[in-house]
Amino acid sequence: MKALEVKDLCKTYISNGRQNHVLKNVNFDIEEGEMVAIMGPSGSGKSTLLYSVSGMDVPTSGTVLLKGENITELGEKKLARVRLNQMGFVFQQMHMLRNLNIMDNILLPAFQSEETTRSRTEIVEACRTLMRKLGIEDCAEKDINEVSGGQLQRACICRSMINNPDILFADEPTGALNRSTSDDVLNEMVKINAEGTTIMMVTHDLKVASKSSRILYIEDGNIKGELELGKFTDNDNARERERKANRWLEDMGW
Amino acid sequence: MNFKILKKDFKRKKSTNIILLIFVILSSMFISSSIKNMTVILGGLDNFIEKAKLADYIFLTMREKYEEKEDNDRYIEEFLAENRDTYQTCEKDDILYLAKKNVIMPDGDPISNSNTMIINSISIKQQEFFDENNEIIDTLEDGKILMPLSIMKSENLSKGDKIKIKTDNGFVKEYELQGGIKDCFLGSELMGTKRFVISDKDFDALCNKSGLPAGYIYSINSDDVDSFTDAYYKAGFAVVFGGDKSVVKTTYMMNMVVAGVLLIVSVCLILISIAMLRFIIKFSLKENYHEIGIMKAIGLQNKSIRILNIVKYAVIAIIGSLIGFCAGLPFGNVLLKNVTDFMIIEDSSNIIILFQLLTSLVVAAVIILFAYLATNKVKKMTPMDAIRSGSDGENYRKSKRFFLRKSKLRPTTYMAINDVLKDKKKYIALLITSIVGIWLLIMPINTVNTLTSESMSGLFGVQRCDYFISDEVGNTECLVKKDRNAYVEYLDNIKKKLVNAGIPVEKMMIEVMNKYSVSHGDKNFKSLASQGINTKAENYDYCKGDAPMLDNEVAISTVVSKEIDAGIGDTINIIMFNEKKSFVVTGIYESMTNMGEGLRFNENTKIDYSAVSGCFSAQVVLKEGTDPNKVSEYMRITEETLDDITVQDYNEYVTSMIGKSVSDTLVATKILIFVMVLIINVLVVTLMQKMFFIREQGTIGMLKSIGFSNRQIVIWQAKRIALVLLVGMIIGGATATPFSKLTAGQVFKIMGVQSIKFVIKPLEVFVMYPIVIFVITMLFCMLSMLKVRKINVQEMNNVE
Repeated sequence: MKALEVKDLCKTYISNGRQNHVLKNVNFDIEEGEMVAIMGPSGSGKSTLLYSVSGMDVPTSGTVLLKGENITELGEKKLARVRLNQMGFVFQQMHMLRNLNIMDNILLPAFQSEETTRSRTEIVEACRTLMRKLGIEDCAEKDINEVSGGQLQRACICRSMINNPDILFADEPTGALNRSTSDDVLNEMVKINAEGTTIMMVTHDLKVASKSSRILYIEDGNIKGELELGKFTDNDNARERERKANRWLEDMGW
Repeated sequence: MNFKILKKDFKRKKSTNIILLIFVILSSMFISSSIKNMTVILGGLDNFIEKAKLADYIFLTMREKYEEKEDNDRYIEEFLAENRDTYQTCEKDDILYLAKKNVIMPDGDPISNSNTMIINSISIKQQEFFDENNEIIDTLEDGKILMPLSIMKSENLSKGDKIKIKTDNGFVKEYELQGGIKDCFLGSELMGTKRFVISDKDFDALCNKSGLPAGYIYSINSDDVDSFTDAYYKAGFAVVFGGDKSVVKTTYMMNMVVAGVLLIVSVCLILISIAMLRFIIKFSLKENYHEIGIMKAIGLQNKSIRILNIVKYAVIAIIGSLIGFCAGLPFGNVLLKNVTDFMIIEDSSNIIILFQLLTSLVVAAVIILFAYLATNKVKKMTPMDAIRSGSDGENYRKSKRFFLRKSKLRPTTYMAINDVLKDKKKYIALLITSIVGIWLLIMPINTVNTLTSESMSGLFGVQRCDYFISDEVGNTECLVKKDRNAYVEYLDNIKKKLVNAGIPVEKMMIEVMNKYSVSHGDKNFKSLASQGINTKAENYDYCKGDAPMLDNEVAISTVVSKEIDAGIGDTINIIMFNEKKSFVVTGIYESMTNMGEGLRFNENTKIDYSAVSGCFSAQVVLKEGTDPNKVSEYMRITEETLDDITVQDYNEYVTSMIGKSVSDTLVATKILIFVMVLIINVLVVTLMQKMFFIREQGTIGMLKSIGFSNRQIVIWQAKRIALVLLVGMIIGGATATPFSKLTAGQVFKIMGVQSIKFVIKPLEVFVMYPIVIFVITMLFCMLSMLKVRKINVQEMNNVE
């Protein structure tokens, strides 16, 4: 079963009485376990596409099937439940509740879920495991202003993974980070994908995109082309993948 | 430029600014009108007394027949002659006493007023009378009658209505109602005795032909009133009532109850307004933290930045105060309405209006000053703090022990509690509003419940019974006999009649009043004394000591105790049977009758009834086991069986004791305050929620992104508001009694009770009313949260 199927997706905004067609009949699929990067020039509709397929914005028309379920037909309550239990989100700005410490922020969606079969103790243990994996176990008791940007973004990744989502959406996850921190975060996401989590990521960073298994190029609200890179492994030559992606993007008009 | 910024700010935050404006308007309106009312009444009282030419001391006497002077009258003449050096002038005017049955309304029924009534001629030297337009009434045509405005209104009478005076000996005379009078001495509601006025000729005819009991009003003017009253208290003659100007003033104090309560409400409103203003300013500063940093970085002075922020609040404060002042003018007049029936009030002079305006502007000044002080934080902000972080400059506090992972709470509940604990200052305004709201709510409820509680019967000098019978005719017949046995026989007769009518009467009781001179050391006083018939002294309430059991024992009221400086165990002297008799004080009690004065004797003590001045309503005690549901039927049968009486239950009796308009006012005040508290709570919660919303749009977007539904987000926000409201209500409830004692306790002090024990109905006070306030407030709170639905994830860019 495909993780995500998008069919004839359209999104139109009305501003000052004028219509702005941001997405025009977008069609694509994402297989389970894939890591797909969405790239394109500024204003091409990347983030709009991400929010529309993740149920955070209502598309004007079209369908989005998440593991066969049409989420465009769901009401607000059910959609929230889908976001809580089946999706994870990582954003460019590391948004966390400032009144909670790092660990409590990560645990919040898990404790909120009514579909979980795990006890609170099991959830806490799972959280510690995740934090250990991402190298931020020491940050558990810290407030959000006591950690670095990279640590905070990794905490956001932990939060997005705590409910074992079917798909992880990321909007410029390394956009607010410096180079070395970006690499760390990106490596973590590659590891998560290697373990089987499907990832759909919007990025304008070639290095980030080259580590995904497929790149979709969006321009003027539609998918202009896609590049199949295959799953990234430790044996792969990262620079070679980058060069390949770069050439392709240049051909796309990037 | 400032004007542009101001205009934009007003447009952007319309609802916040409007709510703050409403608070300022209400504060200004209430405080200016209540201060004005208190000033006008207090000043008006002195003015009224002066214009009425009220004497320094006035006392009334009574005798059975107009044409026959009694010994008491001769004693008074002797007293006045012997003490000529204690006064300058003494005027003596004739009066006649009317019973309810003597005054017939246009519909043929007797007047419903069951208090003592007197009638005198228009030329009485005792004082001036005023009409509805505050003009002195100099003359009155034959055949016309004037009556108190309050009775005119309560009986629904108009000018031109025909009133008859009818007496037992067949005298009947019809008078045309000329209008109402404002009577300085007897006009207030606390003064039970009411006065009618007719022409000199009509009065002469009434004196000579009616056979009504008569008396004198003595009006004493003295440069040294204390010397006169000292001699007066020592003298042994009987009076119906006596008092100086301060007593007269005190009787009008109850009319200030509304003004006083509203002043308290105003002060509380200002406190809440200041708390809300603090909240709004702090919030706005946080919102504009980045902007302020930029302003500093480009070289703006702290003063300029502060002025920018203050100008908005200054505009709101001034506009709100002026609107409040304008609204306060008619509002104050409405409040004064219950006073203008009784006294001359000059409420519309330019000085008074100027004073009101000044008060309103003081409210504005307080708010502007507070806004200035609250923006002090601007001085501490550095440009780089704001620019680098772009945040609100919050100092993050390390989490202590309250962790989500360790709590068993649902996330929304945890988040709500955590938000309040972490940001306590943010919720101070709501907490203060909640606490003060409960204080304001409970205070009048406790007052009304206390007044109408049957456990207060002791304060009114009566014991618990099933109902009361007010019988002016019977009382007057007993009064003129000046004999205790007259009352005993009277009660026996009533009981027989009621039993024959099928009413299971166990016993009839009555409190008889005499007026005695009492002294202790060099302190003298004249006090009303009560002795019960068919009662036991030990069944009354005493706040200190015990009931008088022996013939030489007496209990005194707290007012008398204070006047003559006597306590338990002291021996006091009371003049009766023309000699000084010694009594040991065994107990002290609180009394709400006769401005708190009182002496109580054992029921078997032989006391001098030549000084009898009246009695309370007779009390009916039904046999034990009587079905309570049948009491109202027995009351109806009583009214049918006995002539010319009024039957009252406990509430009606209390209302007649404290005055109907005061009683109605207290109930109306209770409702007004309830509505006010509700409105304030709703406004505060709505405003706070709006401001939280502005700040938390990003957080809400983020929560939605991780799977919180709209409902769950609303629940989280509602829970924290509910938590603060509940905590405030609990704290307010726990501290409401001291607040009530501080405020409403003064009302009881005016009535004579120095230390009132409030009757608290826990279900009503701590459950019913607070629940209603809580539910309605939360309803409006949830309505203001409906905007959550419109927030989308993109708002995360606005996370604080």
